[in-house]
Amino acid sequence: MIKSVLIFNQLGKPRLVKFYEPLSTAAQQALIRTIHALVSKRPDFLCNFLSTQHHSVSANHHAPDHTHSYTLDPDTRIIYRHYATLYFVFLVDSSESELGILDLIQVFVEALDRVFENVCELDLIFHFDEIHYVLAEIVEAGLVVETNLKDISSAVAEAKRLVKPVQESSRLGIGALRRGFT
Amino acid sequence: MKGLTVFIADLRKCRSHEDEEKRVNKELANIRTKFKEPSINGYNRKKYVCKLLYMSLLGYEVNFGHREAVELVDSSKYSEKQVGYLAVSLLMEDESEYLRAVVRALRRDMHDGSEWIVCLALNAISNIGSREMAEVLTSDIVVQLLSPAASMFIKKKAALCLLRLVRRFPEAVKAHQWVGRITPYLGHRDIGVTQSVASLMTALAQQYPEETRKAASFAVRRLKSLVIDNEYTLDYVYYKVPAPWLQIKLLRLLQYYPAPESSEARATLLSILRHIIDVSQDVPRELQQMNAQYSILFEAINLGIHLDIDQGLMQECAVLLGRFITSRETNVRYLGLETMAHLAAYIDRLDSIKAYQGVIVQSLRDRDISVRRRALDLLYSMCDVGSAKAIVSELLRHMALADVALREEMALKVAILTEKFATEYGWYVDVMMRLVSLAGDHMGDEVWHRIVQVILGNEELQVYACKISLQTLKAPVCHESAFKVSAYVLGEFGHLIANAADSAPIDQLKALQSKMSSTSQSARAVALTTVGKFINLFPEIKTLCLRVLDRYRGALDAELQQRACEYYALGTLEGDELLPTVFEEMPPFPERQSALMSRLLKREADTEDQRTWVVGGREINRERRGVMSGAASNNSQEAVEASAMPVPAASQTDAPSGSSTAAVSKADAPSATSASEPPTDPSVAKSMRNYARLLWENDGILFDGEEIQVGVMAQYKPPGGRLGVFLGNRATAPLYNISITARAADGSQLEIQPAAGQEAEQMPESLMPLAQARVFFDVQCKQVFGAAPTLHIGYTVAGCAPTVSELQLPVTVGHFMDPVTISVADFFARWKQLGDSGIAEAQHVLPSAFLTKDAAGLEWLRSVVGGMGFALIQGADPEPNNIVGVGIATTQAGRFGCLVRVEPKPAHGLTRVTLRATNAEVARSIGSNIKMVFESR
Repeated sequence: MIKSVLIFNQLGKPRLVKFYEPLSTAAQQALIRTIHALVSKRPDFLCNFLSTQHHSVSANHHAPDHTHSYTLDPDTRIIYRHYATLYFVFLVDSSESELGILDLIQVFVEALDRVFENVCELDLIFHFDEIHYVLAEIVEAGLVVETNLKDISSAVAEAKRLVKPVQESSRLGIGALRRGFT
Repeated sequence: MKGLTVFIADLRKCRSHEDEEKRVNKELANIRTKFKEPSINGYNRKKYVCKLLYMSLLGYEVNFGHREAVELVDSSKYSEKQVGYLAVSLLMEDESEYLRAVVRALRRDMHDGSEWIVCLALNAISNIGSREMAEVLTSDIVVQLLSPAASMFIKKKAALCLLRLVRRFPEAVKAHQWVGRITPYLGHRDIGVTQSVASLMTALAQQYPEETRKAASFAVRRLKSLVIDNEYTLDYVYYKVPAPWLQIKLLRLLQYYPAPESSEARATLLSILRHIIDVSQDVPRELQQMNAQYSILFEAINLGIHLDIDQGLMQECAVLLGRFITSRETNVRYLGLETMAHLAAYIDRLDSIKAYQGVIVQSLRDRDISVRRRALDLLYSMCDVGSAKAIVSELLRHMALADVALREEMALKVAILTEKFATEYGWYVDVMMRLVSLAGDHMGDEVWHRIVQVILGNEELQVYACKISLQTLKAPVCHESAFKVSAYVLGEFGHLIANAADSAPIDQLKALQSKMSSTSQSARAVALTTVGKFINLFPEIKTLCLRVLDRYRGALDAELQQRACEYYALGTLEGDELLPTVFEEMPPFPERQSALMSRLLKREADTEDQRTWVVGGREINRERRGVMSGAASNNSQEAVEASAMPVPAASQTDAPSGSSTAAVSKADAPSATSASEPPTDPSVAKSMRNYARLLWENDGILFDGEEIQVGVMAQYKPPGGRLGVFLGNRATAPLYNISITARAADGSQLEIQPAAGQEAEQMPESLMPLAQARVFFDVQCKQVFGAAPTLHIGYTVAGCAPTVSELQLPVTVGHFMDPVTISVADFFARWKQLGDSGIAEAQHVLPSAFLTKDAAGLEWLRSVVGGMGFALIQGADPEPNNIVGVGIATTQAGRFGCLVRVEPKPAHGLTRVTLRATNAEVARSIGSNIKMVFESR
């Protein structure tokens, strides 16, 4: 099962935080910091998988008062992809296929790309709620619900139509996300 | 929403974290006042909730706005509803008071005419997934999934929604009632629907292998149409690969079923696997296509290994995998090694894998730690008698270079392999001594304990072990763990080498002494026992030994001092009977599963879906499969394990002190609970009823008095749990000086303390009439316990003396029990086995007049047994009214299986309840719980 979907930038600023299991905000943030520290120092030629077993990925790591102790299951794996300025990270247990999740991240990015037409980090910032809606068409309750780009984008477009046209936000154009691996 | 955009832009402009915080606080204050305005319109409400969501994304704690979120959900505008549901699922916790209103809205939206509204509702259910939703909404969701009128979007979401509820509250969704109708949806023409249903079926297959049996043939048929007949729409082609996720899902689903019996089905399945392997022979050019292609291939190999029907195919897989582990793509190397470890866990002839031993050893030096870890797993899995020496020496060589993070696991695995495949005693001792010297800092005590156990159990080993021990002590440097082993071994068998050159008793004592001063307290404690044993073994050096002991009689450390004093007293005692008795040679340890194995297995934690294999050799996986194919779940195997080795590792931590006079017999804690005595006065009877109800329900009222009402909400994740205690003021005046504390009867058995992270909401100074205060406690079950913890509630009503009430908390060992589904056959085997041992049985014959009144009594009985954490086994008992169930209680010290059989006899107004467990106290405690529930009905 997919336990969490995270997007953060190279500095570790969260852009999407979605947990499929309940977790306090403080623990979530601590976890993001730890994962960012682990992932951001890995050069791109290394593999896209990390097991958490020995990295002591625990959220109380950075909370000195140990009030939010939360340790990841030793079975949890970090599967991530690095696109331009952003890291897309999925936390999954061992019942998911690693390459399958890697493909799923690609689908997620391509779906965002369709919805925002050449997506960039600013889109994710100013439309943080829409990212959730897009994700909900791909992953639900920690499982893949749809992988077909046409269905995903038509569902998102339909929902957008119901919301009524939203005003177009100014596009400042910080380098568009590159497709594929970087 | 312009305001939102401006706010986000504002935050982005903040140069420092302090600026950002200031801006956030200003906005929070603003939103609070805005929410108080009665005239706030939907648009603004939506805008402010969005702002709150953004702040929570940045990591700011947002704990208001729930009411506004619910109001948005109730709105008739889609955009407001959408934000409302998003906020509810991101901000609200399980025990929120607004959840009820959300459920009401969901129920309405589930039947809305617009499919998009229904989708929103389904999405929200799977995001929140509370117990109430499982109870109230499950049937509506099933209807949507099966309804021919519902769109594909709805069906997909409904299936996953059900899955979420099945996983969280298996007993509330009553899956057995609808699982049969859903199975055929695996053949649905829409790939998206099939994919979601396949996920759902995978979860159900583990819980209801019988009811879902047909799923296997549907999955095979569907795979065939995708892989061989090429029946799919172009939308689902991902980089030239048709529907890779569905293929993976189906291949994985099939791993939960045994190989099909009909030869025709087998042939179909084989041809599918062959097709997938053939397609992968050519390396795809494009990276995305390779990913998709290989993810299917790896899953196909996993399925092939599981089916175990064609060795030829498997040899071919081995060759293919051999190519992968030298791939230039790190991802492919990683998965190649992992899948090869799976193959090594089943394949009969390891030759085809051994051919790559050199490459695999090389992978221990891969630049990526993820790959290095997989290489270690693979080496561990592929090791056999023939290759053990080579592999172990390679691992030892890498030990010094390996990452610190990997060393402990490496050390454990070396220790296990060496013990398992040793053919020469000398080799075993040499390797283990080298291992503790190399990696002693990185491993637990299990390793040196195990070495001592093995040496004690094998006479042929002892002389050689003594020689090496003495050498170790004489070497210039000696690792702490090596010191402990050496000291222990010489204390037991030093006399065996006393006649050899340079090994006289005096030499042994000197060698021991020379290292003693530089070791830790715990090592010195072991050494002191050795000195004590030397008095018995070598009377000729008694005075020297006593001198050593004498020096430690004044040691600061209590343990050292006690040992020294006691041994010294023994050594100077008149008469010569006690000394030899106390310091007699230790008997060999009884055969038991190595603590090393249990430690390693502990690392394989539970996942949402059961693992179909574990890292390790063939025996362990064959064993696992034997249990699994008995239609039993993963948990039932743990139940077997838990009963097979109830001996906690703690009992072997320091064997010698058990034989010394220091042994303190620890009295069992009194286990009778006061509440189990028959009630005398009506108010006691009432509170007993409340208490009894909480023995099988998690939430409810514990105490209902004139002035206060106390409610309890509990959530257990054995061996831990969280208890919410609610204090309501029923008096007409406010309460002051409120304190709520909880105390366990014995802190070493049960730990109960205020939950972490609630400092923020401290006890209010006063509690107004009809107001409520709450406190959360974290409980940890350390070992089986008898006495329930107590709750102390203190308060003052103006003008009166302070009142303190003491209440018993409904926390018993039975609360740390999880249901385990096992097959009927397994149940009776275990039942008989436990009955034969006869140690842990509890039986009550209880008057139950309510059974004669109506059939609802039986239903109630079932819910009681289920509520207590037993999985009810359907159709196990020939007598349909009888109830049998299985649960497993988890404590930090171990897990204990518990079986129950309830035989109601409505004609006599009696019910016989029998419990059998792997621990007597567990059976007794749960037995008395059931008794109390009966008595208070």
